Amino acid sequence: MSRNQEGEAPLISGGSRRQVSLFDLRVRDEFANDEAKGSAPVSRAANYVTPGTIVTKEMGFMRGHGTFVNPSDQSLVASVVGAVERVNRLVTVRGIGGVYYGEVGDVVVGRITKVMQKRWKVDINGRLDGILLLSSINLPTGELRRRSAEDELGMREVLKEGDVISAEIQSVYNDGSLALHTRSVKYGKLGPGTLVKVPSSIIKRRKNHIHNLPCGVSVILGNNGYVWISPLPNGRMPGTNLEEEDADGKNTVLEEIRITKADRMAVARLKNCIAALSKSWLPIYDTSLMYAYEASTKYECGELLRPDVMQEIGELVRQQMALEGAGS
Amino acid sequence: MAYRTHLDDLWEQQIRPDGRTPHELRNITCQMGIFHPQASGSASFNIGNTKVMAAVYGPHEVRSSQKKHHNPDKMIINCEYSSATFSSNERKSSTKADRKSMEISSNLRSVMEHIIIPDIFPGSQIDVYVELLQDDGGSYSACINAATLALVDAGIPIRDYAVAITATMSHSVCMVDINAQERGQCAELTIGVLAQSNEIIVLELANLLQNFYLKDVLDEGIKGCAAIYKILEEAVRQKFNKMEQSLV
Repeated sequence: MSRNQEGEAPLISGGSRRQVSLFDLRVRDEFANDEAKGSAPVSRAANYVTPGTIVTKEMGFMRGHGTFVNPSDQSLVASVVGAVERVNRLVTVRGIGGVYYGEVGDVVVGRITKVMQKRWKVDINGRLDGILLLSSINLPTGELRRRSAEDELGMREVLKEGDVISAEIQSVYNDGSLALHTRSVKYGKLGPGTLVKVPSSIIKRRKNHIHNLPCGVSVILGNNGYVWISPLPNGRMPGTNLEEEDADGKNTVLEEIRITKADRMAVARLKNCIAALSKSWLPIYDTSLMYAYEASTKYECGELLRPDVMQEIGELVRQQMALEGAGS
Repeated sequence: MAYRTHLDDLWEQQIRPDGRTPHELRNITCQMGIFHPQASGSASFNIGNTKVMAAVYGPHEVRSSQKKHHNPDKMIINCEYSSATFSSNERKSSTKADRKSMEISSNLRSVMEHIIIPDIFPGSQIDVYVELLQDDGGSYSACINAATLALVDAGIPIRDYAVAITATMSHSVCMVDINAQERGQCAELTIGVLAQSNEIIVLELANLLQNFYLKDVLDEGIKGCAAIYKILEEAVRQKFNKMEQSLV
């Protein structure tokens, strides 16, 4: 509790001193300063809360994600499991798992659920379906023009129910639903591959979410927790977005794609690796994926589904990541 | 005169048919994330030989037929209870929803609606599926505990844990956690409370209980709920410790 006291001191103004916050509500950089000064680093476990735990009874804090105000005594109470964090006046509980909210610029993978007037509805693992407007896609022909009634009629030829796409979040509507766009060669309809679902919180936010891995497989790590694994570069379906031409200026056509058994094995192996990472609650990004892939090579692809093997791979990746953390 | 059995002898020493003392709970085990990652949240809750699984899906876009008369500012909580054909002594002929499971579904839904923070996801739907695998008494309370744990696992904001237990009074002794054998001989009061505030949210009586016993039985039940909350909390905490490192 003594730590709480010192952390609180700058916060309290006036007579609210009598109520002591139950948690260490220092701002993130205050933590960093303290750790730099050599005091014991604060573990997240110390800030653990569970639904119903009172975070603070003091006034003047703002209710963030994962908290609510108890109407009877105005105390701030946690509503999810996680660690309490504070940014200025805003108190949030960062939980694991839980709902994907989405931020502008996130890369997401989703499945078309509905074709509507001038828009598609896309399941992106959020609390509402994402909306992809007809005007937010590149036409397959690559023309830049206003979308006509004919385009509207032909929407199903471009994307139909069940298609998997990669997209970027363009904006967030007032009701919390997400507007998507695919106006870049990086995004669009996805070709042959595998969709893996993991909790959105374990996808590590990076600059780049589309990777062509050295094992000859490409992955799209959607921020929403959907991961696309494909033997094709960038995972995209050819001929569905503009600028499809390769170096010799000719379009790749789907029929020309040959997916070998080795490709399939690599995809399956990577899928199992992602499942192992997700089971051990390890962050998923290019490096952790490569660690997992390397750790998996001594096993047959099918063996990776065994719980003990999954756990072993998780453990190996954990050690690797700890080593890497120590080195840098 | 009725025959005197060895159970009666035991009862004189306040030992129940299965060897427990009146205030003792059966062995409880629970596990979170049993359907990870298919369901958003899932949990199993076993108390003695009563076994329940729960899975939570969502929040997601409203996909049920309720869509037509659905207020976009509201949230739909869909609750479905079912019991396995092999869950009780008599094998059930069909797995279709009968009147009893529909009642339990609707009761469970009102509990869920009570603990989930109201309309935090406007226009969305949350599905809670609860399956009774084995019934040895106290199945409804086990369902509540399992569903709460699954909600926590799914990260859905809730006000508090809903925990429930059964209690009764027999030979002027309060007992908690009635098993199927005892259920046949005495009243069964299912008590559900919010863990932190001890607010009673479920109270259901089967058979008759004399009203002057009610307070004692309630107190006993609330104590039992506190014990269950501790066990649930332990499971949640363990899971958090496991996941902590992916909080980056």
